[in-house]
Amino acid sequence: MLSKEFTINSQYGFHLRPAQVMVEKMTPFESEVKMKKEDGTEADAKSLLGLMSLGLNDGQTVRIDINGNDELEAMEVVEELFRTNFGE
Amino acid sequence: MAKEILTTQNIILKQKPETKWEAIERVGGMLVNSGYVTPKYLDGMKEREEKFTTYIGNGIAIPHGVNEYKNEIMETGLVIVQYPDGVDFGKGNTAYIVIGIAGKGDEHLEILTKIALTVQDKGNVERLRFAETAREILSIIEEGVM
Repeated sequence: MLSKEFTINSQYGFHLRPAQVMVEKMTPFESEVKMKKEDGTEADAKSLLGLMSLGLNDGQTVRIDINGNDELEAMEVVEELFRTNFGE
Repeated sequence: MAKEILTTQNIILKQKPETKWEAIERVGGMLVNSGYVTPKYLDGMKEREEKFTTYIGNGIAIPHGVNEYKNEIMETGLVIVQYPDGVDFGKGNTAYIVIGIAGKGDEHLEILTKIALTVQDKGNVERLRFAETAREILSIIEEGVM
């Protein structure tokens, strides 16, 4: 399993659009991808409603846990998404 | 907090099926009539839908404007239209609840989070779809959090 922390850096929080991009990019991977908030709540990163229900705001830290055969490739994509602010 | 952003006056029940563009115009028009946005905001809502659907799963769509139209928002507000027979949002997706959103700051994020939590349960979606009063819709969103 791979685990890495990221900071939400979006003036509009992590709601619909970044979450849609996340789901779109993670769905093709076989691995299980979870997004966890500091308070312990977590969501399936392939579920839009799940990600939206985390209610993430700008500046919050999240942990991404990826578990599966293609976890390396999936984590590379996650890193790229956070680096590019989900294309914002 | 939520009640100021979403009121029973801004919930329409038992709307007959129409196209998703008509549905977006309907919720956009409600946002205009309630003084949340200028009429120009509707262009931003249509642009958003063209770029990427606002259908979020489990029978729910949340039309809103692209960021470039933020200046057309006067006040944060939500409106809800219930379509018991649904609106075709494309790709096999049918929305039974269409929620128009005008979000100025981040005051609307709390209620959006609540809505996302509520509608993860398909039983709650069915209750929203067939609710008989606007007050019922509000209380499902307020209490439906798992």
